[in-house]
Amino acid sequence: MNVRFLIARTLRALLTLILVVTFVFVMLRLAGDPIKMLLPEETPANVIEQYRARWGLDAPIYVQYVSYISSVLRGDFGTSFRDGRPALEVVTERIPATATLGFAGLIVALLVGLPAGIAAAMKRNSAIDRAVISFAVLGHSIPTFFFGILLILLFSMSLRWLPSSGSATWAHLLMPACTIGLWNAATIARFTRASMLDVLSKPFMRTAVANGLPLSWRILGYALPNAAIPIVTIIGLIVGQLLSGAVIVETVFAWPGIGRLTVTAVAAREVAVVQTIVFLAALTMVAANLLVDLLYGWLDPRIGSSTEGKSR
Amino acid sequence: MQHWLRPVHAVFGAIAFASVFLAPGASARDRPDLTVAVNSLGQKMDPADFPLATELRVYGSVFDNLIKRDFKAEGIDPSKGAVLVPALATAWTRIDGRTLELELRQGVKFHNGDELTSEDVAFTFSPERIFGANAILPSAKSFFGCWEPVQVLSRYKVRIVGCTEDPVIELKLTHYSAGIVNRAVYTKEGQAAFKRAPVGTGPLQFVEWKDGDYIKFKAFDDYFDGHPTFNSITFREVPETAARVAGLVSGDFDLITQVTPDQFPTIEASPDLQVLPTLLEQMQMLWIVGKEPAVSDKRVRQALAMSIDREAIVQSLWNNQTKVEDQFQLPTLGVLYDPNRPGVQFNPDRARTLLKEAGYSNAPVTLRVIANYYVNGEAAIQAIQAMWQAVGINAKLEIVENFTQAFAPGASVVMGGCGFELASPESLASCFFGDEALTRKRGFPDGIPGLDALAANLATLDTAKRRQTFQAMLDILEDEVPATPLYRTPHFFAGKRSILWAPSPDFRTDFRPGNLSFTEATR
Repeated sequence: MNVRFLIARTLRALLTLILVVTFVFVMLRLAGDPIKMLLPEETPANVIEQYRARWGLDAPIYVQYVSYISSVLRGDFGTSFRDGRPALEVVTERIPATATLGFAGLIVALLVGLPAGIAAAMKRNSAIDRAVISFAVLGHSIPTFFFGILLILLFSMSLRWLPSSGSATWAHLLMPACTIGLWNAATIARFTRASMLDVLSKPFMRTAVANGLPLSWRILGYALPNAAIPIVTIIGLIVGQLLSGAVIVETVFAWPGIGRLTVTAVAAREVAVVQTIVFLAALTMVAANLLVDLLYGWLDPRIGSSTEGKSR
Repeated sequence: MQHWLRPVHAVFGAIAFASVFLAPGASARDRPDLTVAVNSLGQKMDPADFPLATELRVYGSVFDNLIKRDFKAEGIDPSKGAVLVPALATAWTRIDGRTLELELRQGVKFHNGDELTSEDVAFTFSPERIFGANAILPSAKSFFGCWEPVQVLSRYKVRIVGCTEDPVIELKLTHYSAGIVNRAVYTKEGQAAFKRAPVGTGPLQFVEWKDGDYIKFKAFDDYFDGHPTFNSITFREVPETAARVAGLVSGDFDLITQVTPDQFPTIEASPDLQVLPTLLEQMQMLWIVGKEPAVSDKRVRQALAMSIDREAIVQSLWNNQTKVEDQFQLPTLGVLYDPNRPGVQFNPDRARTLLKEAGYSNAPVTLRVIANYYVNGEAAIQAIQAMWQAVGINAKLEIVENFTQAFAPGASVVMGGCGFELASPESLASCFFGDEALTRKRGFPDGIPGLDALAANLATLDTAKRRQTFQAMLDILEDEVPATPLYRTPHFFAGKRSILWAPSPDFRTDFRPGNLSFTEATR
């Protein structure tokens, strides 16, 4: 991997961030007057103007934009209109909950999805393969709000084994993590199976068999690393999504994450909060994709050097 | 007795019984820790900071008012109207049409240990906080109108003076926006900090707020009106109705808010649980945008009003758990309420005649409703659409995101609500009369003919004149039809039967000793 490759990817990531922030800034203002969403309908016009001036919404949009960008560069993301706290504080206090749920969901997804995909590829056209494919289709077809409610009905209402909602203990994490994890496991299993099938048919795998290498070594040492690129790609996307918050699962299980905050902030036109969320979400997605790009270069050095070749 | 009132009266009776026979001064260890699941915690706990209904359900017992309403007495005998009783003020005297003098209760403590004095009252209703040009909370003027700075007559005596004749100062003091705040903390910490960690005199003392998760309160044992009967109350945000119900059934929660009628069977299947209904002092209604050509003729608007079978909607969608009121008046108006007013009658034949007389030519009448805003809102508006189509109105339905979109050009009718939180005709000002009335923004830019002039006559202490004026105003509303009432807005809580608690009709949850007790099952 060379420096040009790294710089090109980083510049692209920065450009993406600027475009996303600008787009959201404009869209939030086009989608309706935040003041009218925040104040009661019967608020007198002069009072509305007082609030508009207080929150800096009386300036022309380009002035607001320049002010916003310069503030962001100083690390100031504005203030929540409703609760009066810095928007960054409102958003960042939700990150631990979102990260906990996201990583727990990812672990479930990897623990279920990877072995299932590998097993299906190894036992192609067997009952295991068909079971994994059925699981993948079913897992992706059941909406998370439905699956989540089913889990609550079973484990909270009927069996009374687990708390129905909230985030106080590890027991609270189990159902939402499984809901997110199994949904994503279906995707990972499908990609892993397809990628492994492709690699297993390569000549070097036949050579490994001919050399008498044990199965575990053939899978972990040869097949999986070579099948890794599409799997890493999809995991990168999943990580980005999970860290941006899982709106529906957070709502069903009353998990205090960023996803729910996003919905309430958008509905209330909490401009500063929405902008901060989108900025951080875009940053997460861009960072995850940048990491995946760099992993490509590490997993397959030809990718990094191809950029160098083109630039020459 | 109306059947929807029976459960509430039964609970009131049980609370009264339990309050007498169960030890009120039990130690903290004996008192239960309650968990209440709410659909939203809200974002602020300052009573005058345009409070939302969801927020009032959380901090309704953090603050006290100078005067309060006795909802128990009003429920038992609605003909009495609003029953005012002492709270932080022990007595009040009308000096004249503009002036009210109040004696404060002595020895009342705020949660931080400060004693309540006239200075706190003066600050609560000060120009600095509400009435001034650069007030912290200018939106609260919508509730209070215009008051001069509160006069501090002594440490425990204040005088409130309206800018003009104000016959409802007493009622305004019972409003949820009129909770008394601690001046020292408010001015030292600032409003932004205060609304996240409020200091009042109520039985709920703030402990902790984890945004989007929970707000915890503990019992304020120095509460002036008796020892709280709970040890702590934690409000948990659970946005999904099914999850709230599941949590109640599984025992995670003791009380839940915003239950929908389709969840009643699940709750009532458990012998330990019950639904707790209340009728809010708010009316669901339809705004009619008078400037829209399709409904600009008042005969068309009258036809729209009289072709809605409100009783059928209440029966089918609400299982008779709410009621149709006679025009824009509630029994809590007391002597101003006319029980014999016939209200809007369902008369499809007369509606057809009126449409014919108005020369209605099948012009589209667009109904708009905000998605997921009112419980059963979409279902009710679909039923109304069908009823209008049945009398020959070309009714089109549109579902929108917010009120700005709802009243964007093209709307003929929009579903909304109008509150009666003051238990007086002045409650209707924000909807129908005065320079800032919503009707001026919603289809009647010049106001409703004759209404504003008539409303000016309400500013008197002469009750007979106020009644005559108000009933004449209702005549105008019935004739002009800038809006038409549908039914009272109900709200359903659900909880354990072992908790003896009654919901209030004014959005606030009341966990004061007189309204919350427990059977031995909870202890």
